[in-house]
Amino acid sequence: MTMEVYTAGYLENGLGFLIAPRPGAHLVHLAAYLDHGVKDETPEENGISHLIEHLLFNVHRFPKHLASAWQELAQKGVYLEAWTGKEHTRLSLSCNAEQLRQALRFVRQLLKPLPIRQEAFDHERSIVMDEIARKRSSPEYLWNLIEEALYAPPYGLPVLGTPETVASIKLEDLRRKLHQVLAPVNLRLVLVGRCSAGVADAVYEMFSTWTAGKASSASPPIELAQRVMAIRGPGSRVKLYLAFPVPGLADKERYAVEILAHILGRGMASRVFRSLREEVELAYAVGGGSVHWRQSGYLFLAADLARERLDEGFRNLLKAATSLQTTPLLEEEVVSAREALALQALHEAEGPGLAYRLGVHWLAGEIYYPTQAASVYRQVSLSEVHAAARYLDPRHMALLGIGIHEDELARLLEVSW
Amino acid sequence: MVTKSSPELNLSDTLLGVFVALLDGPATARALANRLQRPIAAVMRDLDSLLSKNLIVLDGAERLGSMTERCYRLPAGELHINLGEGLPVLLREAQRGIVQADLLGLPITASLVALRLTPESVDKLLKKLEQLRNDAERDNLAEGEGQRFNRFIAAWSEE
Repeated sequence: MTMEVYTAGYLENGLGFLIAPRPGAHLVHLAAYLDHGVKDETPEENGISHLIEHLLFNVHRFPKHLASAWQELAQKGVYLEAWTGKEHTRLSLSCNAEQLRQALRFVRQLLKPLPIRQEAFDHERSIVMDEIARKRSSPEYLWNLIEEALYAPPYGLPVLGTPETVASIKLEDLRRKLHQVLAPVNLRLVLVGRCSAGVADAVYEMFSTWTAGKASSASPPIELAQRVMAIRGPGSRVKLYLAFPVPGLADKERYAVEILAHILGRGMASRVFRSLREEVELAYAVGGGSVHWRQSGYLFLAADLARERLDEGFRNLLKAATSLQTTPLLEEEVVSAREALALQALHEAEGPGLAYRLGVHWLAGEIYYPTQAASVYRQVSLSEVHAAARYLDPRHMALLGIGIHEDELARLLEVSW
Repeated sequence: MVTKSSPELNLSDTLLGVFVALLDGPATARALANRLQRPIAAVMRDLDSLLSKNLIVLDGAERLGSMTERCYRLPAGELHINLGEGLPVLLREAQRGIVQADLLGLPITASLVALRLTPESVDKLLKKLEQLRNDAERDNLAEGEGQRFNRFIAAWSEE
């Protein structure tokens, strides 16, 4: 029997910490979650959160005291990663238990507001500009445009921003924003793996004197603005993405939606794989899944199609989705999807993925327990999954096409109706 | 609308449908999609197009829990539907309004009179109708007051 015992708490300054010891783990994973991301941006300053992440966490540009602290950690093989998303900015480190105190001290120093010079600002902005250009011109990165097709700002804004918005961000704007963001009340520290509840003392020792700042404003309301979005391109292939709005993390129905998404699009046993690939030989690459933020999410389907078979492919994708509303689900499909998701939750718990789950769920207002999550997946009934199929309403979907003209995509949508 | 300020209009059937639906008052994209039995994404495309032509404006948002939806409406003030590409809107809306008023037993008058007149009489009659149009425009009520009243005046020569 596995027992999950966490130590969670808040310091007086509002900083939250969560310690999840994992027996037998080799490493400890430390993740700092800042409750700040694209959700906190206006369209004009879009990209500022990601630019802040670059400026704060570029190991090659640390000031002297941080550079030497980082060097010591790096020599011990410590791994650092930073990431910006729609709802948070994350810094994560994986290290041996012996380096944990040192790593905590380093994170504390890293999150102290530093004077940012114009030269460093310009340097990171140039890199971000190239990152934007790279991702906007690489089909493998374009899939997340489906979020821009489904939501209005801020959730419909790109994480990296656009060349125009990033070019217009001024250093003083960034400093102001940084001052708001870097506050203990906006921070959740998650420690997972080879650590004990006693590390709470180290968290207190290093972070309790930090008193700056105010909490980020409450999450803005989410606005769905389903659109047809197309990126023209040469060639004979069209990548098609369909996205349906579904509940967010905080909604209990999310589990049923994840099972539904699994049945529909995950792996070689999925409905769309069997239908589009195995039955009608329409596509080699076809699949789907679901993404869940705090208050909203989306279920997506994707297929890479030959241009001349686009209509057929689109119709088949829609058919696979809508047939779930009318055709009874098979018990074995639901059982298999439930087990796959339960095992995925438990598998994540073995590594740094648990730190990610804990951070994201905590920011959404709940403490995540992998065994409980696995148990909830297993309890979802066939009728609950069937009820979730009502979200697969073509009237409510957003459509993204890569390698196609928008008029053609719009025609597909109207004709299908 | 449709015209003095935007003579280049090229309204497709679907655009006209969205525009006409908004004659009944502000609505969200979802409400319009339900009413028109079309996908929201297709309706959004038309709303974006109408917005870019200044034929409609944003009218705040409706909030439902953690979600919000934008409302769209026709621009404030008087709505002129002149000849040209706006004519299908005018005819469709006239037909819809007349049928609805007839069904509900509301005041309505509509007729088509075909006459053979001298050119001078035609000229006189057209001037009278123009005067009637100008009078009605001058008496136009502020938006939001009174009963909604639609007036459709058209006269033409065929030879």
